[in-house]
Amino acid sequence: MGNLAEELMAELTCETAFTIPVFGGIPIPESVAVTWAIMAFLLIASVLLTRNLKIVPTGKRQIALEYCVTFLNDFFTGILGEHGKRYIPYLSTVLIYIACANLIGLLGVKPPTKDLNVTAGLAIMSIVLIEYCGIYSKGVKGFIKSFAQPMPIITPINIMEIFIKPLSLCMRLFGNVLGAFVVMELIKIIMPAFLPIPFSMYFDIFDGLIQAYVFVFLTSLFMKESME
Amino acid sequence: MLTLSLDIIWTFVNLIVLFLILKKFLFAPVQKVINEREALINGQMAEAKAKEEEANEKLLAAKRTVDEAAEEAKRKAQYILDMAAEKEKQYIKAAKDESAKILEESRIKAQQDKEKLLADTREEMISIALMAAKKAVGSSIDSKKEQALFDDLVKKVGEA
Repeated sequence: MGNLAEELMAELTCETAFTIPVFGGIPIPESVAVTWAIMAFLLIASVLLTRNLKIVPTGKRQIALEYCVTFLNDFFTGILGEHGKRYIPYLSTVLIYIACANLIGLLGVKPPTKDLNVTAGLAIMSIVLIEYCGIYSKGVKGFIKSFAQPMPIITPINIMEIFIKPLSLCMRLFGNVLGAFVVMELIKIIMPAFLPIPFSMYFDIFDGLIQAYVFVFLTSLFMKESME
Repeated sequence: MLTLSLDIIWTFVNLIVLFLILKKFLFAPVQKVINEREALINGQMAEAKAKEEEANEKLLAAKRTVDEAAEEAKRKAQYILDMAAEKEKQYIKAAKDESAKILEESRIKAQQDKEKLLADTREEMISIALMAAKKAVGSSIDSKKEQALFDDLVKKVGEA
């Protein structure tokens, strides 16, 4: 049992993948290295997928690509409304990134979302965007006044929400990925073959995608809330 | 495990870079094509609508022309009928006039013939009567007496 705890701890610790030998050596954590790999993959995929796009599509590739992009546009427009269209590319990026990060565990790579720094970074960027959204649509005065709404007595709760929202976003994602990982490790101990397959379907694929969806869904909901 | 470090900055940088990459290489080109297609479709729709309106206008104009032509034809037919009726009347009148004229002429001619015949007959009768009287009286009668007898005969014939 002690062995398992050690193994789990080892898996959860974010090791340094390599060090860039400048300024006395910049350590690059494993999660960042994997993120770079995901970025490179997405860049190559984007360039390959968007080659020879035609006004009248002839290939299935373009139709599928347009379907996905239109689906994302419609999904976020449905939540944010017409005013929130400018935020759609960022939210789509986050969705694609988290989905890739959660699914990369299938390739035997440690998912970047298992690193608290990544989920916290994503959550902090989300809260910055949420508050920027509020300031952009209401103006600084309106944004400050909105803390006293619907009644002044809940102002402290509204201020606390600035910290609660990113914390919940960050911890939900991190907790789910961590929990899924621990459960999968335990299942592998019980039966290393066959049994992990259906569970992996759920924890690695379904849960991974659901968490990506939940993260951007909540971010866009909070954005809509702060815009109103 | 649950510790935050300065590595969080990597997340910010990575996410922003990934956002820029996807925006430039994925969302922008796809959106551009979608927008271009939308513009093309809107243009074609507008063009089709304009053509439909034009066609409707032409159809209306054609209908108007057909209506006008039908009206014109009707008018012309009526004119021809009227003209025919007028001509018929004229011909009938002319025929009637002609026949009346012929009738009158024949009546006059008949009258003249009758009168002529009467006169001829009268003269014939006179000459016969004269010849008979000459025979009865003989040649002794003088011309004075002959004249008196003739006048007497004429008077009698006239009375007859």
